[in-house]
Amino acid sequence: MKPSELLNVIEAEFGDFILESSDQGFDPYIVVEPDALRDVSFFLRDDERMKFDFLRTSLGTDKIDFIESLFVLYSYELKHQLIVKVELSHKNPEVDTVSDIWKAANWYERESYDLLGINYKDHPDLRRLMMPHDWVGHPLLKDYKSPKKYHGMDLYRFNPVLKVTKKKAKKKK
Amino acid sequence: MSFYHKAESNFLVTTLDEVLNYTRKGSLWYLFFGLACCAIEMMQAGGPRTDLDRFGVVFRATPRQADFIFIAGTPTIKMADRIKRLWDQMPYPKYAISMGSCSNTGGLFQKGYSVLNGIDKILPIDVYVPGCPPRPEALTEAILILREKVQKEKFLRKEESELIEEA
Amino acid sequence: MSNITEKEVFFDEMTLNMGPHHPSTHGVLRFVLKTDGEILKTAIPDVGFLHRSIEKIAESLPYPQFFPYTDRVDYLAAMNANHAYAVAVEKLLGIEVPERAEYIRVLVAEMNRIASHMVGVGSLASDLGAFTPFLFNLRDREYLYDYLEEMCGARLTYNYLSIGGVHRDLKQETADKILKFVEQGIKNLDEFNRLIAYNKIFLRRLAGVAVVNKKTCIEYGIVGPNLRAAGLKYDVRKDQPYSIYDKLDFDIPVGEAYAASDGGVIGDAYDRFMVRIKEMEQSYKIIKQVLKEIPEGEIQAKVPRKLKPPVGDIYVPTESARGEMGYYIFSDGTDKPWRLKIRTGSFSAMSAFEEISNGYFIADLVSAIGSFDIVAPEVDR
Repeated sequence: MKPSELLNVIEAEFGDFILESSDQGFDPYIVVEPDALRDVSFFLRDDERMKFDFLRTSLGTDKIDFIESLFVLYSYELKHQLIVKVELSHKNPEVDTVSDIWKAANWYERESYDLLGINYKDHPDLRRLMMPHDWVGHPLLKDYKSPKKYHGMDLYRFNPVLKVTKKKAKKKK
Repeated sequence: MSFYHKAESNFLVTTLDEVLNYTRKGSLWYLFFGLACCAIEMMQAGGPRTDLDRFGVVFRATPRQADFIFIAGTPTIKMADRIKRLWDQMPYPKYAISMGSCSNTGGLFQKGYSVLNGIDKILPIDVYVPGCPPRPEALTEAILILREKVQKEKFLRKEESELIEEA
Repeated sequence: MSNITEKEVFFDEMTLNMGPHHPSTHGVLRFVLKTDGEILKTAIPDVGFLHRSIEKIAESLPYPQFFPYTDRVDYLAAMNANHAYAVAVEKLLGIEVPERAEYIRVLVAEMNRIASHMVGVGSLASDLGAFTPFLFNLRDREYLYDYLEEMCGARLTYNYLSIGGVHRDLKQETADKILKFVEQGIKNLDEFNRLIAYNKIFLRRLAGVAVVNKKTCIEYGIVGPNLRAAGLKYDVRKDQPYSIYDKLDFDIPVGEAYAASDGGVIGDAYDRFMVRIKEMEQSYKIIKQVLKEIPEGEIQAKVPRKLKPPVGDIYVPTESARGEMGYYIFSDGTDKPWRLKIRTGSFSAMSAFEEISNGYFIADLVSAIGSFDIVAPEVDR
């Protein structure tokens, strides 16, 4: 199915819940209302025309105004690709989990929770994946500042080269 | 000490320290402990071309049998506690070789939020090997330097409390 | 003692720790094993010991300067990781790569795929107690490293590809040497097979172990040789061809229960081992074709000094040695990516471990990890 037809089918099915859709960019994508994510996901996986059985990847992005959670889907059988996006507020980044629809989402959601603090509701095992369990903060947020110390280890290292280049830059000014 | 002198009356004079060190440096065993990219070059160094076995350098899987450790790769802060624990489990005299830029200073990942910038913050290092990753030849050189260092040790002339402090 | 019930005595669950320092976990992976005696109930992976914040660093670097980091995402197949990033950025910018550069890229990528699979199958054998085959493979890898070093100056982390081409041209003498090695390499692969692949003990350790069927593979997004061993004929090089793979003639080996005589089924550890061996044969075939058909010409397209792609996001999959390696890039119109995400094969294979490890012996976990060919930095990045 062509990307434009694909988007038409989804829009016809869900209408108002699709906030935005486009096939003009590099990959066709839809932006879904967070409350409707599970319904749309079930439709995308199970419908005869969709059959998106392979969750390629999932990630979160901090876009200053909002946090975006994103799923890249692919169908082995019909060989088409779609990106599903959900926009979440910074204050309360919360969305339903899809880890029971695509099992691959389990770890991707844990990763997004760890690095961006997106809270996936009803996730079976929402723990930090990459960082230590007692780490504070979510590193991939744009305003994140890394700590100077952790468990008594000093994380800063003096870099003589950087100092020289900074001096040179000052002299030039 | 040298065995090449002709010992006519079948004895030679040396210190006990030197004899012990001479025997020790011939069989330095290392802990098989790879962290990242450098571990592959460490494996290649143990492979057929730059054969580390000829120096008596053999890998052991447990820290309790090891004389020295290669910190081969990027030490992250999540791993740092574990590296320290492995180091504490090794019996001394023990040595550490920091292999590659990442474990020397943090290297490419110095700006990263999860990287310990330099393994020397948590354990003492004897030889630093630069490179990203260092070639097997560089590793061989590091082992030769370590052998020299082992030969110069003076354990028997020290109190035990001093040794513990050094370690 | 009276308050211990009979059930607790006879059905005791034991929790064991494996890793992060363990010689057969291939780097720094940790498993928390829940066992009933010698039989595994589940193996819960704990990752992140090599999380090096590559994705955050990418946000602060201009596009060409990120190349050295892609090497370190997958150090066993660094050229494939280079290639994946180059393809993604070129698609984002709309750059056409000269044909000679494409051929050189495929050549180095396939050479690196062979080198990577050599470690994959070799370390699997060494985990199961056969150390000699691994040394044979280390010997062959030294030759491959020599030729890659002649081309780009580094042994392991190459930084060879640039946006719009490659950094250095392929010399004719190097090409001749590689062609000569290919003949030898096929013979050496045969030697390796005779040494270990049909060994009865080896067969029995792998046949029927850690079976992953097609459905589980798709659900968990397991890709690459592990997916093909389960019987699904999917390869990004064939199904969504990039570079010049659509012009080349090669087969995709799939799992066919190669160890059926010893109780193997489709998708077991031996199938994954055998698919890798057969893929190496195909890679040798591709290298031969590339060296035969490589055209003369430019190796670097004209690229503006400051790369400023249009606003938008893109996901580009490629086939690395450990399966689909895709780069998701969101560009905000400046010369640095706003968000970059690397999708790797080891990550999905690792995420499936909790389910597939159920019901095997602890000793089989070692062969399961080895047969999936997991590399730690690909999981953690």
